[in-house]
Amino acid sequence: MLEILKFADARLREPSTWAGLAVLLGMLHVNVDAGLWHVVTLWGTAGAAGLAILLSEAGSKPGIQVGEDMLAALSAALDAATPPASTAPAHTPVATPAAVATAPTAAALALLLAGAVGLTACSGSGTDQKQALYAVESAYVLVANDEAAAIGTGVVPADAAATMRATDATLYAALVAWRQSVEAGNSAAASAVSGVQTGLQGLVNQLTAAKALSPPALAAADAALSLTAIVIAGG
Amino acid sequence: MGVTTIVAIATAAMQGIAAAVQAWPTIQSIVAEGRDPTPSEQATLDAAADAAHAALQHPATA
Repeated sequence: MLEILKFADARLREPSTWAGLAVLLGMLHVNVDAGLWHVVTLWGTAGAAGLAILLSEAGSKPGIQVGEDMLAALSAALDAATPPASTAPAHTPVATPAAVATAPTAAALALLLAGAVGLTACSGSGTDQKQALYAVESAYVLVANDEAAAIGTGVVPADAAATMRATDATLYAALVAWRQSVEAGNSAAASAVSGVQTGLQGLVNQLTAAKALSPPALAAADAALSLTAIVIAGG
Repeated sequence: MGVTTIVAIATAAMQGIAAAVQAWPTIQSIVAEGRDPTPSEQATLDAAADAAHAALQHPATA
């Protein structure tokens, strides 16, 4: 039974599976809105990834321990999902897939997986720069996607969009420089990692203010920022 | 909207996202095991990050 679940989960983590489902629905004359399908695909793959974590632990941990880990992760994830009240903008955005995805249930589902990663990462004392870089790049992809969606759909005004792009340009340059240092076998200076951390936090703040940051991106950024903090503290 | 369009949009949108989302179980494993990401894992994510940046800064050409 566990093997069947793992097989089904592996298939659901593949975007091609969801694309195939779209084709199947089309053959059945069920026309799904592209924006809605984007959200379904995103949450489907995210949920499958979360299930993969639980399935991977099912055979190696006592059930009660897995349950406790889930509750701890969920608690941390929900805390992370609460936007700062002081950052609410005067501009009222229209409903977008990213904004719709901030529903508490959806947030809990997605953040469960990323929150678990964050807790695991924070508890690790041996985090090195390659691991932190990997986490930051993963978070960056999600955050940049939200940023592009926010700008593309007009959720943010032009001046805010320009600020977001400028922040992204600075962050990306710092990220590439860090990547090159790591690839060359060197460790970037704490100040360089700190620059990446500041840039990622800046984007998160801007998107949160625009109510355009999706739960997976927020959770991923939270976990990545925790890892960079460990690296910086380790100097 | 036709099925072909839906599939094209969903597939394109998920190329980078999928890599990022699927990176999380990998992160958990590499931190737990105290290992570094493999060159292949890192290269996949590098490409996704580069594509995300390009799409954001130059939406018309991405």
